[in-house]
Amino acid sequence: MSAVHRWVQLSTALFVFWLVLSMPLDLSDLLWGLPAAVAAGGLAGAFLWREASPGIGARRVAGLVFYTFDLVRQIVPAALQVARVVLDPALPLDPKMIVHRTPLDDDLERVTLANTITLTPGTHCVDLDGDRVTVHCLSPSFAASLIDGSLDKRISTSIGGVERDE
Amino acid sequence: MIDAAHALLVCFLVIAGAAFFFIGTLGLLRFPDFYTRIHAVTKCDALGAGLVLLGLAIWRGPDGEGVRILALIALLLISSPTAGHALARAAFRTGLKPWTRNDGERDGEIPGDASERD
Amino acid sequence: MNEWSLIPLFWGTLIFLLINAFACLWRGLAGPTLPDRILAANVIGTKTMVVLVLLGLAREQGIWLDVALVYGLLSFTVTLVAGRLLETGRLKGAWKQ
Repeated sequence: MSAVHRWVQLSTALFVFWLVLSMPLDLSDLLWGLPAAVAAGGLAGAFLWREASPGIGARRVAGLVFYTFDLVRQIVPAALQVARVVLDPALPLDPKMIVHRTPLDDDLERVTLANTITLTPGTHCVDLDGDRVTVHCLSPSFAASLIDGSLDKRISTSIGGVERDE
Repeated sequence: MIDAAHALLVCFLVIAGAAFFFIGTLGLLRFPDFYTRIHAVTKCDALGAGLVLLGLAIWRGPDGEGVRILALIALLLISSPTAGHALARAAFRTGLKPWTRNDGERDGEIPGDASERD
Repeated sequence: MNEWSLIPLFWGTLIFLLINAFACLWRGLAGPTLPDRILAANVIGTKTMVVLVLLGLAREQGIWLDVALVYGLLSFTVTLVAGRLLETGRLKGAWKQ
């Protein structure tokens, strides 16, 4: 992807975000927003992505959006689980650090895995280094779906595999 | 302007969100070490703020401020786990040891124990 | 007049969240470790953001929403920068030596 292409892409995204934020729209919002978005896009592009940026195609974005909605639902049982522990006078904790080696080989998939781990009940991602994911569990039983690899599989079926980096 | 069912829904969302905030605060104060506290905070604060703001967005409706509040929710859902990762990693890489129940009594090594970290 | 005014609920929630934020401040003061203090600051930041939104709606002044948005972004950035400073000991240059 060329630098100009990236600039246009980023500026468009920023402009749309600007329009959402200044929602009761009038003409002056458009007139001020467009140059501001172009300038901010150029400025940010100069600092971000000096290395290769992950190529994200339309299909992958769609998969990511669906996956995000799926993930948001997971926060509710996760928070309820914390509530159950906090409100118990005995504080039934048995924390454990676990290192998981993920078969996912793509940065975006790995980041998604880390976020999934954090937002599912009882586990919190602590470190992500190559294929080593260090996970802190409130008690060892919560890591079951991580250790048997079903979490990795779910991520690679919903967002991975179809398009590789450009 | 706003009917009874609407008002009840907003009430429920705001109060539920405040309750999760309270649980997050309790967790921050009661849990024994940094890693367990960050569990409580990333989950309960994201959900609590999400519920309160969702209630407020519904109250304001889709014209004008409701959309801006939804943008705020999106920002929060992205930033809360990310901030949690950044802090947890910083603590882990500077060598903060996690608290365990029966510290030292544990001898059953499970495969992939963090203590084998090189 | 609006029979179903929720403004009192908003003020109540606002005060409740402020009390929560002060409770979190104790963790920031007591520590015991530096990450605990940064975490407490992050939590107070999230609560403050919601308080700002509630304040804007309760007082019918939309400008508070923009304040809340910028505050949320800054609070997030502060956590990231503090985490980085803790991890690498500096703010400039590459992550790994």
